[in-house]
Amino acid sequence: MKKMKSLKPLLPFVGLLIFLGCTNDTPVSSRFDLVGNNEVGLILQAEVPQPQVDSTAGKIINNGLSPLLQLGAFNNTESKILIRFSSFPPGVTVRSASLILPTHHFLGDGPDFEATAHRVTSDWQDTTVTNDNFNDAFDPLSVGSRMVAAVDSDSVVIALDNALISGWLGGTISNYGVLVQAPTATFAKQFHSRSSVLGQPILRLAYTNNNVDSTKDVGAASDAFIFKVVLPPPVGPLYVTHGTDFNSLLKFDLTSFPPEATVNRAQLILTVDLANTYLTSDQMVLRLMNIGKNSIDPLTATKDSTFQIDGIVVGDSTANVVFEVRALVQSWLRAADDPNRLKNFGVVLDASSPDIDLQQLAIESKESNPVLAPKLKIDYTLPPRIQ
Amino acid sequence: MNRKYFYKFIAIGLLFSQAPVSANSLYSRIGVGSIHLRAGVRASGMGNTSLAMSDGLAMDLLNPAALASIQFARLQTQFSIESANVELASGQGRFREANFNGVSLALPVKRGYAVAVGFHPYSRVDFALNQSGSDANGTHEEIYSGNGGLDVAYIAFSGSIGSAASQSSLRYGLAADFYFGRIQRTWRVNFSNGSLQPTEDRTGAYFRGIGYHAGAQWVHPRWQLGVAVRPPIDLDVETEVEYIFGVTSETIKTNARLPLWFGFGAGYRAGSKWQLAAEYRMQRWGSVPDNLDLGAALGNSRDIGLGFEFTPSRNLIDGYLKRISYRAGATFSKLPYEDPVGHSISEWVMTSGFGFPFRHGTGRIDMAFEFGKRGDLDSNIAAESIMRLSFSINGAERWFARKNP
Repeated sequence: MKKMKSLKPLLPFVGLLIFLGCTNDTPVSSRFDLVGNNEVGLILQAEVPQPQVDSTAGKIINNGLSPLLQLGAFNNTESKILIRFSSFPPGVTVRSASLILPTHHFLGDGPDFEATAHRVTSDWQDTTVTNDNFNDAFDPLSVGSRMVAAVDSDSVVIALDNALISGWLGGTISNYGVLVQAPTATFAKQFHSRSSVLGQPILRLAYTNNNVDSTKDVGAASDAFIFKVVLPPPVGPLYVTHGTDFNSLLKFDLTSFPPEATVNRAQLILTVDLANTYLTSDQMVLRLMNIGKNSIDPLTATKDSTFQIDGIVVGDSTANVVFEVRALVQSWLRAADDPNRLKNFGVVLDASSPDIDLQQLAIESKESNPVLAPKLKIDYTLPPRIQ
Repeated sequence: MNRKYFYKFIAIGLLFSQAPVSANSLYSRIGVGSIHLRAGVRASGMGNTSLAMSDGLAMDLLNPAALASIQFARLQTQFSIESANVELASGQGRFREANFNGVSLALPVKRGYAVAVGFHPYSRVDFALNQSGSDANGTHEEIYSGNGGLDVAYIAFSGSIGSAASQSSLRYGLAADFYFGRIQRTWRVNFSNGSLQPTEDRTGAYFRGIGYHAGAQWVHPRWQLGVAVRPPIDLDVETEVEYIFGVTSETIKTNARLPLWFGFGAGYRAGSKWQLAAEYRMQRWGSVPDNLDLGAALGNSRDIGLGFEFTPSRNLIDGYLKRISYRAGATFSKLPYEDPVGHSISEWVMTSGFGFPFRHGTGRIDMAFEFGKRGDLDSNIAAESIMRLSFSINGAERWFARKNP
């Protein structure tokens, strides 16, 4: 401490330096008066008004894992229900059998229609069956019927022919389940499937066993709904659909953007073609994925999981859909030698769960409406020019 | 004498070497920043006149010939506090910073010959500008800031011809200079709309180059004349550009030139108490080709300085107050840069200072206070009121001397 005394006269200066060194500058405002044109960057906005490529395609998919069973007519489709039961009590005499379908919603409107049940004549798997591979393998002779109303607070109960159930139990009729159809329907009715947590289809059996009358509810061993497209969607819009699993591909030309641009926000803006859109209160969840290889077919395009946006919900009143794609566009813009660059092959739009029902989202394309075609709106900055 | 005395100087120097160094000027954003080819604190108090001046204590390394007057091993550290209030037609701002302005160690080889090593700032960049704007997305704020600068590390040699007996002598000096430093400029944009990612583009330029400077002093009992020159130096510049939110970067290699600098001055001793000095310096920034000027609009810079020092007594038996040196002066400069509308920028500074001797006159604490104005709102779009407080600590001890048994 004694030697430090020689520094004592310096302490006021040290204190002053520390104090002033810790004070903040007050930035000078109005920089435009002061700086040269290239000293700071530029804040810009750009809109790529139309995609370079837009295409759409779909294919009918299996709906066996859907929590819904759909019956009737909706959006130019006709749906039928396939259902099979297997856990029957052995050695019993069936007195009656009722197929009980708990309602989820009805779609569209119209007069009551008759739903008829038919014996299925060949085997099917709920995870693979479609209208095409089912080949109408059912007996045209009805084994039960019921009028179905456009309400969503009921359960539809169809009394089935005892002989069919007895045949299944006795092994004289192969148990491939029943098909329920409604050829005269002008609306569709959705029921809970065995995959639903809100309700289950059941077969209510009344039977006698050892002179004792009993009742048992048998749960479905497999179920699915199949459908056929009566009229394909009109050409022009881009589609994302459930059931027919339409995907759409979009690619924008970004070659005019320099790699040194910082993308502050990039929005892919889609305008919904309401006239060709059929969405239900269950809504549709959209997904956008980057494409890893050059393609114009959305069904065969290589979807790149390194960039995807999931969870954009669209309902029947949605007019515009906006995807925030800043990170993706920034990756596209990177220099060719940047290892983190993603090549711009475009994006694919699809539905997160296309096998649920038969909803359809139509998006204006450059063919259907060039003004309202998908557009990419980019807020970006260009850096100061290096001297 | 105890060498811990030197270590204390070094400790203080290291303490402040951690502090950001600042040029405290709006114009420091141009080129390599505002030029800080400054003499020592003693010279600062005398209107920044040093080329012809030497007193055996202060190490004013603009002219390496002055080192030949050193008679003891000396260590000198310098600090400064700078403040600039910026006035614009449309606003104002303020820069203030505490700085470490270099350290020098000089060793006399024999009488009239010395070597020195050290480093000091060559230029400084420190500014921050902001601007608000609005568009369809809401408001945004742009912040353009910069910091850093060039430093010079040097090794200098000085010798002399002639002796005290001949009443006059010629001193000469040569210094090898290694220029290095980093200048970072950042342009950031913050958006009020939270859905917009900010922008931050950083440009970090690393400078490297080797040069030299030389000087001579003719010393007479009353008159001193001095001249110094720094030939042009080409610097290698490696600029690393980082687009922080663009998550990418690039490196660009360029060159920059520090142009020829020269100056000459004269000093006059009026008795043992008064010392007068005048000086002219010029740097030919106007000769720098466009591809080497870092995009700055440059013109030749000039400095004219006048000053005096008054020391009532140099006699150690007199009272302490009589042995304090009092200094004053003025500097007028034309800066190398032009403002955005193409007008040149001038600066005038009034200076004053004190020299507080210690350790029987072998060491000294020098202080200088400068105030002035840079630019003029009548002809420039910004004017800066400058205040600078500098001080240096200069200590000596006899090294390599054989102790008496």
